[in-house]
Parts: sequence; structure tokens; C-alpha cells
Amino acid sequence: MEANAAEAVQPKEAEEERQEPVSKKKKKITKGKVIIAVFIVTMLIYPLARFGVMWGYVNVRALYTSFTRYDLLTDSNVFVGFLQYKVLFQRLATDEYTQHTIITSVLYFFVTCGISLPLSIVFAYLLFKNVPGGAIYRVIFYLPSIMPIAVLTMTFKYSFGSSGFVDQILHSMGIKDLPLWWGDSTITPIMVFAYCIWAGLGLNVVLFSGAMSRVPKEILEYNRLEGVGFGRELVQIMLPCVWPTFVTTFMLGMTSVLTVFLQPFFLMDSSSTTPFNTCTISLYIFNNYATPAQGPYLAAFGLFCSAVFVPIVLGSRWFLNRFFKDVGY
Amino acid sequence: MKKRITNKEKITTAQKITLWAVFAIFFVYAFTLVWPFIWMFLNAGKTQMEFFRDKLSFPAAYKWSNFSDALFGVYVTAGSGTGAHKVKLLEMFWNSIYLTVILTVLEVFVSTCAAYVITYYRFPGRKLIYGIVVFTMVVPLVGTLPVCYDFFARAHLLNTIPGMILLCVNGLGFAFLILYGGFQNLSWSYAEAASLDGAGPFRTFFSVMLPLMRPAIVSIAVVTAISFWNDYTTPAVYYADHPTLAYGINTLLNEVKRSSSGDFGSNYPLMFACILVAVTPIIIFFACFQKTIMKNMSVGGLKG
Repeated sequence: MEANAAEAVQPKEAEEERQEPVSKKKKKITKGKVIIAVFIVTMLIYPLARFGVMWGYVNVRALYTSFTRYDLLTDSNVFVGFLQYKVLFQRLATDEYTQHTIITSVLYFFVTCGISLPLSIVFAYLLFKNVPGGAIYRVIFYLPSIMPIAVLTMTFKYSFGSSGFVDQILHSMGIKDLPLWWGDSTITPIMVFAYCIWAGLGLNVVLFSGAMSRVPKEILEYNRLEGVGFGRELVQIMLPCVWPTFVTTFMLGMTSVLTVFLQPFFLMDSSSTTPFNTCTISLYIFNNYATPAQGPYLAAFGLFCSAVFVPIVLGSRWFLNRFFKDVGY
Repeated sequence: MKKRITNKEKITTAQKITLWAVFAIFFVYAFTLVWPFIWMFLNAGKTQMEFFRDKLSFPAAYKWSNFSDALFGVYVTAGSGTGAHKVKLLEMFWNSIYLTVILTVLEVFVSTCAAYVITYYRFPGRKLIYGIVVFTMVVPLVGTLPVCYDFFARAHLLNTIPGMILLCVNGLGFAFLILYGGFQNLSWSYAEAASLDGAGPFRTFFSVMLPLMRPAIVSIAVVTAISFWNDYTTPAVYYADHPTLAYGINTLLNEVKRSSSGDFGSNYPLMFACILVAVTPIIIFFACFQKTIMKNMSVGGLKG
């Protein structure tokens, strides 16, 4: 009985260590394999079935839907070939709103990877260098990451404008002509980007400072003895050491082009209705998802954007992973 | 030698100045993160007129009733047609709590099972499953929302717990990756010892390996619970008839703003009270598990 139970668990090296007659071993392994097969299937059945439905089926159906149009009379989708893609290309070429939506989405990449990411690396490095009160700062910086996004955006939004303290402070400083923070085609998109930096900085700072804390102390001690300054140490030592974390964070920043939508959604009260465009790819889809007639076009729009952008993301990952291969803290 | 020491002292002083300058910058940034909530707390105790007059002063007498009004007085209308009903902030709390508990327990359990099997057992497709997990995390495919919504509507899974489980309990997501890393650091010799004592794979997993992974499981459960608590999109799209706090607070604020609009503007003190009441549970939760969360973020890291 004990031997049978022992056979049941036979992954990796456990399997190799058994010393038993061949015929007996064959019989027992078969029995053990059945138990293990049942165990593996039981443990994986839900996640695999769920993946099949929620990823496989939904994506295949979305692909099919992009080649259809919605028929109101039959409440079903009718195959129309590339019609939705033709409409999409027409809009991409001529429709200002669609063009702006794409441009705004891409701008999030520059804000995330071009401003927020470098800033968070510098902040993390300085936190790592034992800035006074660093432990408290680390906790405070992380706070936006645990808040519901609706609350955080509203807090930011209410701080500006006629109801906010910012305007009152600026007024008391003698500044009279204050911008219309949430109703100006120039300042409002900047405010949305400013919010993304303000709220998104903390998580990356904590991640990078965690990665930096794993860098061996000997390396830093050597730098100190050699008189290496902060800037050089950050660029030439720390950044290569935390390169895997940088690559992952950069990738997540890149995917924001396709995924970001709640920030403009809350700050602009659904920006698709405002006279100036702060809409993103995901927001456009989110604003129209419940309209059956829009489904095929949205599927075509989303899948086209993914088809264009995903190779860029994967290519960037491949390119970035070519550097500093032998480190990973 | 003397020159070297002098140089070192000089650099140290310069670096100290830099660090104090950075301290000041960090203080400003940290202040911008904390001050809005302090400011809201000050103003949540004012009357509408007091707030209209001065947004930076202390209230004459702190009006705590705004908080009870936030909890019991204001509501949003959820559902449509005959199913339309009023939902107060307190009910949103309850919706958030039970949904978060159910989804977190299931997600962590399913992820642990999957991570355990894929870490220790060799079978065809094992690497493929891991590859799928990484691929789906790195590569976002957009445009599926209308199709997914339509599928859930036709399957009568909208506004149901099974629907939410199917949507949120993944088993091959972020929790899986973290637990997979955790199991890789756990020696298989414990399972071997258990099997020699007569334990089968199920017993080995539940009685031996699972307890050994408890710190990592608690850590990932905390992070998972926060993400479910804060999730806006899934409840907004698929569970809108039972608004959770993360979803309902936005609707509630818009409702208060619209309904209270008058000579002194909207009832911002009440809106601030709603916001503060809404963030209190997550702040308490964070305070309780702050060390676990920060350790998880610092030690685990994020590599790709």
C-alpha cells in the first residue's frame, strides 16, 4: 500500500530514483500514472476549460464577428466579408475622430514609457539610496495603487476647477485667469496625462526599488570605493542590473496604448461626447460595447489595432531582451 | 591616501545635499497624494454653504451627519424595468465584500492548483500552458468586449455569480505566475517524504505542500483581493444590477452632484463624505497587510 502511494507521486527526480524489477515497475508505473493523470486533469480542468471559453472561443468569435454585420430583423450577424475593415480603413483615412483616437492612444505610450518610467527609475534609485523617510515615502507612493480608480480620478478632478482647492490657492496668489481644467481642448488632455503620471508613478517606484534592493551589496560597495557618482551608478550599474524589471515595465507601458481607458472615461465623463477628443481605442470600444449594431465594427477595430500593435510589442520585447542578458535582480 | 579620504568626504557631503533635496521633492509628491484626502476630510464636515464660501478653512462645527447620509441617505438606481431598485452605499459595501471574498478564494485556489501541477509534474503540453500564460499577459487583444458581453447576455450569465466567477477566476493569470515562482523555490523532498508515508498526490498537495506555501498564498490573496475590490470594468459591464463600491461610487457621485445642484453648487461635502467612506475599508485593509503587500512587491519583483 505504501509502495503504491509512493508511486503515485513521481515527478522529476523522484521517478528516477526508484530501484525495482522491470516487470513489477511497469505494472506499478501504469497504476501510478493513472492516479497522477487523474490528479493533473482535476487540477487543470477548470483553468484550461475557462481559457478555452474566455480566450479561445471569444477571440475566434470576435474574429468571425468582424466579418459580419448585425441584422436587426433576425437579431443575428450576417457574413459580409471585409466590409467592416473597409469602413475602418475609410475612417482611418478620413475620419478625424478615429485618427485622434489612435493618436491619443499612442500618446499614452510616450507618457508612460517616455516620462513616467524614467521618472520612476530615478525616484526608485533615490529611494534606494536611503533618502530620509524612504520607508514612509514607499508606502505613500504605493497608495494610489490600492485605491479604486473611480475614487482616485474623482479626487484628482475635484481638486481642480471651481470646487477645488487648487483654484482657490492660485486665486489667493493673485492668479486670476485660470484655465478651464476640464473643458479646454489644450489643457484637458494634458491634465489626463498628468493624472496618469501622478497616479502611476508610485507602483513603478516600488517595483524598481524592490528590484534594486536585490542588487548585491558588493557591487555598490565597489562603486562607492571607486568614487562613482549617483548618475553614473544609476545609468551604468543599476539600470543594467534591473533590466528584466525594466523590460517588463516597458512592455506593460506599451500595452497601455491598447488597454488604457478608465482615466479619460472618469476625468472626461466619457470623452466621446466632448467637443475635443481624449478618447482611446479601448474607451471607444467600452463606450459602444452594448450596441449590437456596433459589435462587428468594434471587433474589426479592436482586432486590427491588436494585429498592428502586438508585433510591435513582441518585437520590442525581443529587442530589449538582447541587452544585459546575464543580469536579473 | 589623504586625498582619497578628502575626496570621499566631499562626495558624501554632496550626496547628502542631493538626498535632502530629493527628500524635499519626495515630500511634495507625497503631499500631493495625501493632501486631497485630508482636504476632503476637512470639507466633508462642512455645510454646503460653508464649502461654497471657503474651501480651505476648517468647518465651524464638524458635520458628522454627512457620513451617515453618505452611508444611508443617498442611493443609485440599479437594474432596469421591473428589476430597477435603489442601492445605497452600505449595500455596495456588501456587494463588494462577498464578491471579493468569493472571487479571491477561488482565484487563489485554482491558481495554486494549476501552479503546483505545472511546477512539479511533467506531462505533454506543460510548457505550452506556461507559454500561453505569459503570452496572454503580454499580448492584449482588444475588441472582444462586445462579443463577450453578447455571449454572456445570451447565456443568461449577466448579473450572476457564476458569470462573475467565469470572468474573474482565471487560474492562469498573475496569481499563477507568482505562485509558480513560489513552488519552484519549494523543495520537492517534502512531497517525497509524504509519499513514502503513504500519501497520494491529493493528500500530498493539500496536507503538505499547500501549508508550506501559506506565506506566498496569503501574500497573493491580499494583492488579488485588492484588485477584485478595485475592479471597475467587470462589475460595470457584467454585474451592473448589483453595483460594487468601485463601480457604484462613480454613479453615486454623479447622482449626488446632479440632484443637489443649487445656489451653492452641488453638495460637495456629501460627495467627499461618500468618497472617504468608500476608501476607508481599503485603507484599513492596506494598513493591516501593508508589510505583506510591500514585501510581496519588493521581494517578488516583476521580470519578463
